[in-house]
Order: sequence, then C-alpha cells, then structure tokens
Amino acid sequence: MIKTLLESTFLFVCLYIALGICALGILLRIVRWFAADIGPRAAVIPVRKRVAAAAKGFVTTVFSLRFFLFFKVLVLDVMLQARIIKTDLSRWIMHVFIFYGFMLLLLMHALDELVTKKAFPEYYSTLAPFQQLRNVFGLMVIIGVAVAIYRRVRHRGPMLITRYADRYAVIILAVIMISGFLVEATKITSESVFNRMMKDFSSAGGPADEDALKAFWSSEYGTVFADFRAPITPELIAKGKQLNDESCGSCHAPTRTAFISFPVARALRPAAVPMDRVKADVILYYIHVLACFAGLAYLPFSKFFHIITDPLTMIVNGMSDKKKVNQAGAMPRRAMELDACTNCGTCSRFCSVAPVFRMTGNETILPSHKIRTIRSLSSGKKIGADELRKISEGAFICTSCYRCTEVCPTGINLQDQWFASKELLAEKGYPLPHVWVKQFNASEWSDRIRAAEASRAGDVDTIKGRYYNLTADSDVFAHCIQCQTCTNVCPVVAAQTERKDAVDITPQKIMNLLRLGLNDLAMGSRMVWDCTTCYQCQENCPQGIQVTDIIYELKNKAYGHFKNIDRTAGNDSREGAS
Amino acid sequence: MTLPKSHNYDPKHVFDVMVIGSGIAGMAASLFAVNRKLSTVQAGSVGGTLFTSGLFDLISVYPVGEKKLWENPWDALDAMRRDGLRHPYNRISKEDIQVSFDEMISFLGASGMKLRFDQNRNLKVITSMGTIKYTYCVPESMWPGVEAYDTKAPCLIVDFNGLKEFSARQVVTTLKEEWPSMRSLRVTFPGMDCRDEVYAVHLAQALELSETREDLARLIKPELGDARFVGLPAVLGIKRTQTIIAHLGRLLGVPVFEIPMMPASVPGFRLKEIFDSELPQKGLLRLIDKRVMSVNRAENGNFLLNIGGNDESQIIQARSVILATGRFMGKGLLSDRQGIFEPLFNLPLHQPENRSAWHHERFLHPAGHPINSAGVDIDDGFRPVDAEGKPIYDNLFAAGTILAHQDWMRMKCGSGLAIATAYAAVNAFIENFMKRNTRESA
Repeated sequence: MIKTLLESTFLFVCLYIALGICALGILLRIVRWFAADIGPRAAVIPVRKRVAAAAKGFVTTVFSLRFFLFFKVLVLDVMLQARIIKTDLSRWIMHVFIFYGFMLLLLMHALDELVTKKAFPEYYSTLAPFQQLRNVFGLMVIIGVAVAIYRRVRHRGPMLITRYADRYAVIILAVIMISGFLVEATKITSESVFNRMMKDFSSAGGPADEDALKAFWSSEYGTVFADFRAPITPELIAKGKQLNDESCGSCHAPTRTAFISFPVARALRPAAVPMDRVKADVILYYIHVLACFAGLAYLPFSKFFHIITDPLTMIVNGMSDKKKVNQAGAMPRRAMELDACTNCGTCSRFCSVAPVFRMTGNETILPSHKIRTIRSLSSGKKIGADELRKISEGAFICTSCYRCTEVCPTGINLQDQWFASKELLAEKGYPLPHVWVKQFNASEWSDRIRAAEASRAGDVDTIKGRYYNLTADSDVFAHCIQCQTCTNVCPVVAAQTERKDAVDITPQKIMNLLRLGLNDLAMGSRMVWDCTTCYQCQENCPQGIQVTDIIYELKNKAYGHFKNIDRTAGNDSREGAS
Repeated sequence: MTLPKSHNYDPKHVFDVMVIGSGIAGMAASLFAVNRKLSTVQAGSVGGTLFTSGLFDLISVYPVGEKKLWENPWDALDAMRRDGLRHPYNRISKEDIQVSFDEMISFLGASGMKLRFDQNRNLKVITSMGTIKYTYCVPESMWPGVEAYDTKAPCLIVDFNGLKEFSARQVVTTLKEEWPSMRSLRVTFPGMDCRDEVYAVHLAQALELSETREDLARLIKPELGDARFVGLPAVLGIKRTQTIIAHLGRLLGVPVFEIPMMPASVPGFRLKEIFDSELPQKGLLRLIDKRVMSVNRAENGNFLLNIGGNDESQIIQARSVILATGRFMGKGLLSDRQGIFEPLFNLPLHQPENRSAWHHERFLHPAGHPINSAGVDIDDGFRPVDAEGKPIYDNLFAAGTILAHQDWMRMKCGSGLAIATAYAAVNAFIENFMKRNTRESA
C-alpha cells in the first residue's frame, strides 16, 4: 500500500493547516455564541454572565433526571434523524445517504489507519468487503447529493432558496466523491501502479509469468498496458489467475468488486495510457485529498458546520425546559441556533401565515427568511429604515402558533427566536403596530392619512376591489341604531384601567363614524388596534351588523396606510406626509 | 347542514314547530311549545330581548288618541272589547291572557328572575327620565321602587360619573313636586375612576363581585341621611341580581331598587341570558344568530326553511311555522316605495293605501300614525288571512308585534301582546292543526 498521504510533506502541511483553520474556526464561532447580542436587554447582560448561565444550565441538566433525555435525543434525533422524516421522506433519504455515506467513508476510508485497521486487523483497502463498502458509501453520498440537487431544482422558490453556501457545499462534496472514484479507477487502469506493485511484491520470476499476470490483470482486472503484445489465450489467463492468487490475492480482491470504479475504469480505457503517462492517478489523488482538506478548513465557515451545531442544538433543546427561558443562558443558545439553521425551508412550508406572504410579497414573514434577518440584526450590520420596517411587519404578522418550532428538523426553538427578535426590533424603534399607533390620537392619524393620500393621489385605489369591502358598503352598517350593545359587551372597553391607554372611540362610535363617512378617523382609533376579535360585539348586535369584521377590516386598512406614513414626524400633518 | 352535535339533530327530523323570531314573542312561543312537548326549533337574529327594559306591560293606554291611562289593565281590555276593536287581544280570552302571563312569569322566576305584579292594578314605575310609567309586571329588583313611589318615602337616587344614560338629578328634578323627600347623589363607580365614560353592562359585571358592592356601599352610606330607599340605575348584576340587591340592601340598611334604563339595557341582557341558557335545556333547538332566508312548502304541506348564516345554509323541515319576526326593527316587515311587505311568506298586509297615508300630517299627533297599526291580518286561529279573510296556510301562525290593528308602543302593550298571542298561536296549532291532522309526525 502506498504510504499515508504519499508521504508528501506538502500534503501533511496542508492537512495540519486545514486542521488548524478548522479548529480555530470552530473556536471562533463558539466564542461568538457568547458574544452575540440576541434578544432583549442584550446590552446589560455581560458575557461572563452568559457563560455562567450556560454552564449552570449544563450542570443542572446533567445532574437531573432530564439527563436521560440525552439518550433519547441522541438515538432518535441525531442518529435516526427522526425530526427530518417527520416532515419529509425525500429529504430524510437525501440526508441519511449523505450523512452516513460520508461519515462511514471518513471513518473507514480516510481514517483507515486509525480506525479500520484497529477494528479489523486483516484490513486492506483493496480487499473485500472494504473495497465494495467504499463504493457503496461513495454511491450513497453521490445519490444523496443528486437528490439534494434535484430537490433544490424541483422545489425552487421562496420556501427553498439555494444560496452560495449550499452550492459550495454541494460542489466540494461532489469534487471529493468524483475524484475519489476517479483515483480508484485510474489506479485500476494504471500500468505504472501495476509495475510498482510487481516490483514490490511479486515473487514471480520470468517474463512468461509477468505476461501471464499482465494478461490476467488486463482482461479481468482492467489494467491497461501500453505495449503488451503477447496473444491473450485462455491458458495464459488461467496461468495468470493462478499467479495472481499466489502473489496478489492476499491483498487484492477482484477489482470488479469496486462496482463503481471498475466500470469507470473500463470507460477510461481509451485514455488510460496517456493518463498513466502524466500520472493522472497521483494528480487525482492530490485533488481528492486537497478537496477533503479544503472541506475540512471550510467546515466552520460553511453549511457543514451544522454537523456540529445541529446535534448540539437538538440535545440542548431536547433536554431543556422550553417554557422557562433564562435570558442570560438563552442568548448563547440563540446564537448557536442561528448557526445550526441550514435554511432547509421546512419552517416556511408549514408556516401558518405563509399565505400572507403570497398576498403581500414580504418574504420576511417566512420563518426561514426571518431567521436570516435575525442573523443580520444580531451581527450588528447596519440595516436601513425601509428594511427594518419590512422586518417588523414580518415579525408582527407571525401569530406565534408554534408550528415552525414543532417541525424544525434541527430542533431550533424558533418561537423563542421570534419573541427575542420582536423585543430587539422594539428596542431599535420598531415595535408592533398597536404600540406605535398610540403615538398619535385618532384625529392626528386621520390628518396624516389624508395628507399621505393626497400626496399619492391615484395610488390609493390599487388595493381597492381586491376584496369585498365591508367598510365601503353602507348596507353593512346603516342599520346601526347606536344602542351601544357592542360597547357594553366589549371586553377591551371593560378592561381599561388607565386613562392614557383608554379606548378612545368605542365600537358603536366607530359604526357612527362609518355612517358619517369618517373612515380615516375610525382607522386611527385605538379600538381598532386593541380589538381582540373576540366577536362579542358581532354576536350580540341586535341589528346583526358585522361589527368585528368591520373593525378587523379597518385595522388592515389602517395598517396599509400607517406603514407608509412617517410615524416619527411631529404633529404637523404636512410633515407627516412622506 | 351542520349543527352542533350537542343538539343531537338529525337533518331528516321533522319538527312540530319552527318559531321564526327571537324577540319576546318568539321566545314566548318557543317556551309554550317546549312546555307542551312539541319538538321545536327557533331561528332569528340576536333578537329584541336586548331592547326590553325588563318591565312587562299588559296595557295601560286606550284609546291612544286620548292618551287615557288605566289603573286596571283588565278594564282597558274590557273597554277595547266593548268598542269592537280588531286588536289581537280581542281574539283571546282574559283568562288565557292571565294564564299566558303566569306561565311566563313562573318560568322566569324558576330561572332566577323573579317578577312581581298586582293582579288587577298597573304598577307605577319611575323611569330613568323621572317620569312615571304604568306597567303590569316588574322584576323583583324594581319592586321596592314601586313601593317607594306609592308611599313617597324619603329616597336617595344614585348615579355614576360617566354613565350617560342615567341622571339622578334629572329624576329628582322631574319628580320634585310630588316627591319632595327625594334626593340625588353622584358617585364614581368603584375601580372606574380613570374613565370618562362607563357602560351599564360593565358596571353590572363589576357588581357581580362582592368587593365592588362593598366599595359602592361605602360611597353611598355616608350620604344616606334619612333616606328609606336607595334607587340605582338598572346595573345590579346580570346573573345574580337577587343576591346582589339583597347584599347591597344589607350593606346600606335600606331597600335598594333598580330604575329601568334605555335599551340596550342590563335587564334585557338578563332576559337574553335566561332564554339562551334555559330554553335549550327544555329541548328547544335554538339556532343562534341564524336567520330564515327563504321558505318552501313540501307536497305534504310541511315547510322547508332555508336557514342561513354568514357562510352556510341548511334546510329545516317543520310541520308548522309561528311567525314572530316583529315589525320594522325586527325586519319582519320591510318597506319600499310601493308600500310595506312581509319578506318571508309575502303575506298580504293590512296597511295604509299609499305612502302618503302612512303618517299624520302632525308628527306628534297623539293618535299616532296609520303605519303603526299595519301588519298581518289573522283569524281567530291566529293564522294569517288573505283579503277574503280565509287562512293562507293551515299550518302558518303569527304572533307578536307583526300583527295588525295594534299600536303597542302607544298602548303600552308590547310584552303582553307578545306573550298572549304566542300562547294563543301555540294553542291554536295544537287544537286546530295537530289534533285534526294526520300528517306524518316527528
């Protein structure tokens, strides 16, 4: 066998550099988990406290009964990847093929000196079943990669976006696998490898024996010889087979057992001689090994990092109590989760408010996009006001229904991420609409709406006509007799405790405003924003008016207006029109 | 065709009676029907019960033009009978009217709303305006007010900051002449000092808590003086009014009474609460907030009623219909340029010849307007009739204010009319239809 890494100093240097970069990268990212400010009151919780909280969480979990959950998570979620199969079979197949194919190649092939040899003393890379298994594992990875590429083409769209990180990952994997098979194939065809082996191991003496062995190898094992002229007869092959069994058999299973590489070698036959002349097997070996090193060095900075973060996340979230969130300990966890996300898009496929995205086109509604925005928010990158407004819209449309957290294959506590990011947005001056709407009273808002409408004349009508318009149809609210039943049964009106937060315009007054055509005044009222859509008013209305539906429509319309109005402007309405 | 499973409803089931309308007349018809073991279904919007004041009138004004007030309602009925009016009351015996009232009162009493009346006397009740209203029957919670007015005993009327519909000062000012020992007091309702406006139902909900009552009593007690009664707007709880009043009375040491308010009133909510919760327990299938969109008749004469909500519809089959949809407020009658019409069965109506005859030239004419007596003409069996006086369907009955020849607002006979005609209609169905008819039963 050729010596480890061809005994090339260059390759060894490369290996250690790659290992160094990898280790440093991993360290860097773990440090970042504790340094990144994700969530409310980030600034006031020092790194020291975060580390302490994480350590305390670790210790208390290990020494509690919950520790046994570790094995459940390890077997079900990490080993069997049950969270993936829960939502998507084809992705599970893809993932299991790549994961197990690659891991087994890594252990049995790349680290054969360290692992396989210890486990199987008779191991030799060209012996059965190791040769077959290597091909099986390689094939698994290639099938997995093919399914991955197919999925990314087939399901292309906002739910599954392919980015550079995904492409690089697939390219590196493909290069490693293809070059691996090519190395094996070119070694099979290579005359110089054959000769070297002959020189090192053959006990056979004369040229006749050599011819017989060559005849056997070229016809049965696929080696291509540049000037082998002897007529190949069955007798010669039989003799060669005998010699092969004596000298080579202890280390060489038939090359056909490399069921991928052998056909590849057959296909390469016409080019085999010139390739051997330029030592293609060595070149390809360099490519194969260097690609592996590149992958290793790239690991902490790439999608491959999820090999480390995902099991960690699954274990941490699988074992910790999701209801009790300690802000100090949650911050490093959140940062880790951000690294664990592979952007697989499962959350977006199951998102309850994804239909809103289809109507508004704001992709920050989709959880898989939202988590990227959280990443850029927490990285301290400068984000423009428009972008922030979009992000805040996406954040508040979320109903916290918990579905994304349920389906996340990585087990990320997405729910908690959303809560934390909403707080973060509020700290940045982008709270939820029902908070900022209270900056002005109804008539101030109505002035702004009118001014904004005047400045965008014509543009306003674009939203009209898309839906049935309750507030534009006087038949809907004309029967109102102002009996105040709606206000009487309204729990929001009943619940007010402070004058400054009081409902300014009660439901029956909203109905009256509509009858007076003062829809903009109604839109600016706090009632519209504080309404919990409990439907008490609508169910109790003696006149059968759709009070709640009307208020809900007003809220939607108001939001459409408000988000276009500069809400930081002073009380002069002309300034408010942006 | 979906109904809540709890109703155990089979879509092929043929009901004995479908009651259309959920005001007092509809609710009374449903009560009488389920009490007589008829399989009954009722549809209608949230309904007119919310608009009631809590008082049950029999009759107190006749003739309307003279605004003559009657101390004894039965005398008024006798006078109407003598004059040969076509008022629906004249188709029902006095005994039946009394029995119908008794049945309703005992139902409400058993459900937690005790009512008081004086057999042959209209009661005099103080209104939120300070005027005196004649009525036949009042909730227990208002009874001490009747006694207080009768004796003109010293009395404290209390109102609340921000409660727009009720002013103690106005009550006192209006009654000053005849009741000089009456005083007024305005307090801030406990726990609502931050509000500019307060709403009756919210106050009623708050008073369900004994702490609120104790706080309120602490505010009133120092101002009590020589008062032997305390009058409050009708906001004393929704579900446990009797307990609340008794508790307040104990805390203050004098009887406490409620003064009826404008619609939508808290006593209205109490009534709705009772009808909504008690009648289904007696076997009524109540289709809450569902309206009958259209009606067809099967070959065997049964009615097929298309029940619609906002987004679904279902067909219900019933052997008879009691139409208690009210007049214009209840949308039992609609109007256009040509005149008024009944939208479900398109019944012929008694109505003024043309639009210009709808109203008197003087809007406030004491005799009222001809349109206020328009409605459905019936026979003695409470079946709507055509121009010749012949019943249109043998299994369609009408009750309540949709009936013609009465001006219930001016005669003050709304509740009595609703209850008595519902009673008559249900009995007519049993006597004249069910017992004589062999049509397939439920």
